[in-house]
Amino acid sequence: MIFKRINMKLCKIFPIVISALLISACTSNPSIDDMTSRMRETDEVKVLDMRSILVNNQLKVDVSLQVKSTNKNISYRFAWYDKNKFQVYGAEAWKPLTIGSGQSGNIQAFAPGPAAASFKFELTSD
Amino acid sequence: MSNKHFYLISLVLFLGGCVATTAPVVKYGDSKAVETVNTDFGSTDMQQIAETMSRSMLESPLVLGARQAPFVTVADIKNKTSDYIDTRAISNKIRSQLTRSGRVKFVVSISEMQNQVDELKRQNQSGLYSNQTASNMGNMTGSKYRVEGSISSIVKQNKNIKDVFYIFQLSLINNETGVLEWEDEKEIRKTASR
Repeated sequence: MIFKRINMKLCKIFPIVISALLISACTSNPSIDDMTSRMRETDEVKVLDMRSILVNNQLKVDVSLQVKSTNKNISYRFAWYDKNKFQVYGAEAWKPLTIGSGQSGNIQAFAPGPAAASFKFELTSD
Repeated sequence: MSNKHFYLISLVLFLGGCVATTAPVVKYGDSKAVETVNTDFGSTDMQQIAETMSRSMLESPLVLGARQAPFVTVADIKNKTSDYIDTRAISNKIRSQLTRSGRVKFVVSISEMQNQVDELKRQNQSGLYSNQTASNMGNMTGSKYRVEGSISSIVKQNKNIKDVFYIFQLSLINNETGVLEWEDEKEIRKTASR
């Protein structure tokens, strides 16, 4: 009888726990679109994947890209934010994207300092 | 007013208008934007080199794994290209980015040494400063490492295409042992076609 009651309670709690976990997972891991800022028309570039790790308290980022065509001159840069979401270390210089048409490639970046806790990948065109 | 006068005044006004419209338009631009005026070494090249080199050095085990920020000085960056390139501006930019990270400390370079000596002499030998506040002689910090490097280029061109290949190389050398602790290079290709 006691076991049956516990089972009933578990059945009620289980969906709540699962949904809470799902919500927390969603909020802690922003999507690739959330972490990509497109300033102008940059549809030629598809962001396939984004990964980041902490190396001795400093953020290292790897972005996988696919370039459909090189009709436009596309540039990229990273914006770094501290744990309070304030931008740190100033704006980086725009760098020309040199991946060829129809090719895929990776861009790696190392944060300018240990204050950077998160980042945004920014894309723009001429 | 005669027709002759009218035409003359109209012509003067028209020419005045032409002069006014050809005056240069001045506006501020984004200093971080990609610059592609020609294949000469430009602001984007300098910014890319400084960023790549400083981040690569930060990632090296010597800097990233150090308990205390190592003391470094900037030595010579040689310009081996046929163009005029201000290599001091590149090394200063690298130094600024490394200093901002807080993981490296720089001591005065050879080119800044004279100013440092002059300041110490002014405070200690002019008789104008109190002993309590004057910076003492003989307490300068020696650097354990020095940064030096070079920039080279290969230029090829025909009637329609000009191709410039820049290679920037930077090393971090242990002053005491002469061991090359870290080294990296950045390649840039620029092509101009008609």
